[in-house]
Amino acid sequence: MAKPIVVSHQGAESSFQLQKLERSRLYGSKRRLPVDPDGQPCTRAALTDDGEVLLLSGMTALGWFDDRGRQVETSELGAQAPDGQALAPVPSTLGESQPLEGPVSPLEVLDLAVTSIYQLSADSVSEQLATSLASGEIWRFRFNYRPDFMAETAFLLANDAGTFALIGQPAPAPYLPPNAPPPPDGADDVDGDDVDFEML
Amino acid sequence: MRTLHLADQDSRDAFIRFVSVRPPAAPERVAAGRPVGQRRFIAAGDANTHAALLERYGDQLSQALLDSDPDVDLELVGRPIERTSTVYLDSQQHILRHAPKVVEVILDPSGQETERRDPVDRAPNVAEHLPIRFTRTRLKRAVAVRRFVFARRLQLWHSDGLTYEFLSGIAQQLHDSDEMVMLAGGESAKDPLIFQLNGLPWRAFLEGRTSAEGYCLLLHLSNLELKTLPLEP
Repeated sequence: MAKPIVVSHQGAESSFQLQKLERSRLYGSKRRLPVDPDGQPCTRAALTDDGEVLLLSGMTALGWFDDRGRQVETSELGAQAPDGQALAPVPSTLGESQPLEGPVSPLEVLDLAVTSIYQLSADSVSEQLATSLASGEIWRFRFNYRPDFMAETAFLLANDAGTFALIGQPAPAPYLPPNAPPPPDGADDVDGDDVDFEML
Repeated sequence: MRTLHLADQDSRDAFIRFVSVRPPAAPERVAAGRPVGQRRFIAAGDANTHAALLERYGDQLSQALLDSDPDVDLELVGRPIERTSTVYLDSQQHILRHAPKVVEVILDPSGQETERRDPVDRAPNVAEHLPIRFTRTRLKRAVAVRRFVFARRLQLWHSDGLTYEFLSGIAQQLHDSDEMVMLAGGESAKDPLIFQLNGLPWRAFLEGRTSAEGYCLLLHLSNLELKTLPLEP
């Protein structure tokens, strides 16, 4: 079990167990499955371009390589900002108390590029925070599931169904004046092709 | 440049360009000051996978691994994988020489199969003769963010003075009312939006902001409600 999300609000700590909220676990899912002439599921594999090696599941691995082709151990990896500054490792925030900031405007939540959603169940929640969430207020805190080089932004909110944390990176869109230049190339695709259940 | 065909509440319509709003790029990974990237390579031959070794050595696999490294094929291991072609193997593990039949499998939230059927293609509906339209569903922004997960955002972008007037007018109206309006497609304006062939159906909510700098009109896409998961048996 993962460590809990711990947040502090007006000097009181609250702790929540987290469970990832996924579409397939809420609505079910749909898959397209290739079958052979006998109706049995096919196995997907890859054939190298020279036709010499048939790659089955479990035969490949991913590794980090530098620009000279040297394989790099994970323990050697670092990260740098676009300006070339080395970034310090950011530890996991799970189990560590994070101060709540806010309450925030709904616009901040709408500007979040969401990467994951967690359903929260309270181990302990302060009365002030419970009252605030029940009134519709939304709070921001730092979140990092596992140690890496960039903490994400989380929003803590509640509705009639429960309490949730939305995780992601803030990504506000620009305001457009009448003479705005055309949008940048390559930014127009809508990603994602997944399951297709009606939800409303 | 991708476009959608949008009609407002007064049935004024226009073809509008849009772009995805993306988060900032992740930090560049480095090692000893040099940039690094991930590459896929061959880790085992087909005679060296765990399944193949288990079949060959059975209970003696652990000892065989210690004695003779049968999991390592020095001819293959470490070879970088550049380009490959997808192939399918039948249940006898023979390569299919023709395209396989495809069936659609429906799974319930617990992952159990509930139905198997022939797949039906789903056509896109955002840039067709019939525009996507405003519905009567309007939500305050504070309500919408606590009800839906908005997984994608598209920014609508004007291409001339007329589309600027059209989009900035919608943005101003939504900004003033602090509301998001649901858009829908199809004859009856009830269908979710589909952006590409067999793409996900999205519920879409238009949200507008204005400032001295200009306007920002965003289409927030959702396929997930903020609901609790069913209890596991």
